[in-house]
Amino acid sequence: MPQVKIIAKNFMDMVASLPALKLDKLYDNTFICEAVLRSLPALAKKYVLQLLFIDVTVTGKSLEEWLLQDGFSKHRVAVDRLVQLRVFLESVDRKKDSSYRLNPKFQINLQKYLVHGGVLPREPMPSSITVRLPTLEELDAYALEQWECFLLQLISSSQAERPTSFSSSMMKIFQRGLLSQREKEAPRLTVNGFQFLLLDTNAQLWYIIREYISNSEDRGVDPADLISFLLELSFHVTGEAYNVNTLTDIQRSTIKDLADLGLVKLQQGRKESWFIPTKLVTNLSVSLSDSSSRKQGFVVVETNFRTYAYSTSKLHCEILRLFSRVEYQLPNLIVGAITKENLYTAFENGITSEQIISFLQQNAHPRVAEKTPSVPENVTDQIRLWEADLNRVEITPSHFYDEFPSRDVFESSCDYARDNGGLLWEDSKKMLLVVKAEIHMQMREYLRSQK
Amino acid sequence: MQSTSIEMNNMGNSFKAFRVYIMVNATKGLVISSDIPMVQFIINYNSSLPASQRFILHVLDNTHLFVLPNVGEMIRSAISEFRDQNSYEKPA
Repeated sequence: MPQVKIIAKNFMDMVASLPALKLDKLYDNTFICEAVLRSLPALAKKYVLQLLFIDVTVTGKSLEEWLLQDGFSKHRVAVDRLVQLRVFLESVDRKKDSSYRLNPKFQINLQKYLVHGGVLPREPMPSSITVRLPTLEELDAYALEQWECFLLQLISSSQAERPTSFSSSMMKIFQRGLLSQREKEAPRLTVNGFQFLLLDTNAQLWYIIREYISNSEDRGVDPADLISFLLELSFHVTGEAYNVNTLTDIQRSTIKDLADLGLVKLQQGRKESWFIPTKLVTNLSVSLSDSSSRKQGFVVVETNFRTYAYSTSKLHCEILRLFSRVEYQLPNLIVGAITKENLYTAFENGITSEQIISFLQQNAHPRVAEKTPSVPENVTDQIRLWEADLNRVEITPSHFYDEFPSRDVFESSCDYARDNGGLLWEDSKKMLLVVKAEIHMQMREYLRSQK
Repeated sequence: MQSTSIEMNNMGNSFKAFRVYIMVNATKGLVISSDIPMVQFIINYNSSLPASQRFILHVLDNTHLFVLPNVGEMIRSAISEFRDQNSYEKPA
């Protein structure tokens, strides 16, 4: 079953794949340097900080001196990543030894950031102009509502209450990996679609943004500009209003799309209009460094396999319907039961038991989240057993050999099959042999060459 | 049952009539590997079919069977039918 890792690392891979000139231009922006630093593996971060104030090139050998014996593979991974992102500039001398120094622009900007702190290109607007500023809770609720509406429309356009302003071609692009469109049928979620739904919000966000940026070239927007704008946005302060006229034209058209996703909230005053970043966008930079902020869970799973989800969201109801039987929907509660039949349907759709269990564990209600285990063991064990039940029988195409003329031929064929990794079964007494279908041709050649 | 014989006639020099035949019988099929109860179920299913449709060629041991090719799907659907008989769906 295909395993799709939809995480922020893919976003950084996209950044790394930009041409060298564009990448260097990106490093003009202090915030991008900081964001890239956060996304690096731990050893790479250490190297960057250690070389931050060193202006000369450092040989690869002296870098390796900092390592313990078993750190060599991590060292290679870190150095490769740094060279890929053009944070390290590599020079190879005549003896084929490489030496590194930090990209000068990156270095200067990061030094400035350390010393002065990040200075945003725009100031929050004075509160005399920004009346009706939403509180942080209202902002969170708005962001969540927008994001859920978008997700609902993504998976089934009939379910969303109001359509977003994304053009239908944009929605098609987002849906491309997640839904399969067959003629005369309603679009069905693919394996990747199911896994996408069960992911953390931040991972989902990164996936959508990555798709958005990959398609920006078709719409005539430079991806590097988009990336720098988004990363810059992630360093703004949640809840503060920023004037829209500080944005360039491209950024202005992007901000409308971002408002639909729930990343910012647009508001209009008498003369001016402003945007307010929500927690979703400021979390973008946090989630780069692999430490995710836990949002409040809402699911209680009992030992009798019943689930109680304290949520009003349609999206949560749909997700629960993927693998459990939803029995009642009350104004603040969704009651359901995890049944074998629903799980079988889920397994047929490509969801694994590990995904379901980690979804339940990560979204456990605060009341049960403190207990260990947060999901009862009999439930998790039973889910895994049911999954194993579907895979009881293994079928291998193969060939059966009998009527060997002599024991020697039999023994040597057995050894030949065993050496080639194709021996499935043998019976020495009756001189019978079963080998995998893949090596049947080789066995024929071998037997033919026997005298 | 389909069987293909490999007949090899190895003629060394043309005068010395020293021929060695190697005739090993090779049969194409599928190996079914499972736990013991499931193997018993498949054997029972096999016996319940009319003689023209039986598919087990050899019982290798109590966890492995050698069957005709192309019956993989038939076996899998028989197993899921058996599995579904154990399920009870509450009427909606």
